[in-house]
Amino acid sequence: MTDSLQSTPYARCSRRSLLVGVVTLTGAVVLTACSSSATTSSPTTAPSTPSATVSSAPPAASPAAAAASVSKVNANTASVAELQRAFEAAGISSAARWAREVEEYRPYPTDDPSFAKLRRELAKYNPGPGVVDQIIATLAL
Amino acid sequence: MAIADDTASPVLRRGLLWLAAVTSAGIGVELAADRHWTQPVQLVAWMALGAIALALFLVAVNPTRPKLWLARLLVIIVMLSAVWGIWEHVYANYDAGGLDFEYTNTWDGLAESTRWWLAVTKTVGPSPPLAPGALAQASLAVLIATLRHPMLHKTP
Repeated sequence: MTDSLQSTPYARCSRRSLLVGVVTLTGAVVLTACSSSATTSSPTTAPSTPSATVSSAPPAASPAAAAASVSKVNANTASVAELQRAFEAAGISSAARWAREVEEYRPYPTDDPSFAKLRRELAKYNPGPGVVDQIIATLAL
Repeated sequence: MAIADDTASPVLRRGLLWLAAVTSAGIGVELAADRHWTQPVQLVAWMALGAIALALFLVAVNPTRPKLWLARLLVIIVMLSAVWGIWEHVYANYDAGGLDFEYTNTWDGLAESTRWWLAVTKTVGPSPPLAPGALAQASLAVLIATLRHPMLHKTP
């Protein structure tokens, strides 16, 4: 029996193998796409306002104004505790959790004062309007 | 039909290996696009992908009985890691629930079951809960491809 199995004519099945290969490839692509669709859709949350107001003039509302008055911390080198303190001083809720997120997505390019990378990553969490601006207002590069 | 006359088995086996290979390639592209390396724990997915690739190689290229058993061991480990990955994704969403502006003020007051449900359904958080299941799918394809493999019954 074993010998019979081993001598199965693979060559005869070449066309069939090709067909099976194409079908499985199509199925796998569909399955993979389905399983990952949630990931690709997550960044669709619109990023917050562009960077012109980042460091000097955050939106005039209360928490952001508070953020402008606090000292900034370095986004690339500050510890999570320092980030948390800065966020708390700026009146940002869930400061500890946001601090961990900022630390996670390091490093931030120093030639990107708009923090586009950080904005993109934080948008995945569906933050409230202005929260990302508040966070970035407390950060420096 | 006797097993000896079954010409479909090699084709199906090869098809399963193709399924695993293409699924793995898709997972790799998806992980790269998602920059799935910002935390050490995220590297587990890459290691699992490497294990599947190795298992595929062992089964597809000059398989022997020890190679097939090693491949089986590898894909079973990957399946376990996939289950753990699903848990990690759900927990990451749960942990991030309070950051969602719709739940910032209410998250702590929600029932525990409600919070977990929101995490499982990805209503909160950024992680797709079932995505690691694709690793299990690829592993299962490799595992099935080793069932009743001729080399397992070949006498030395």
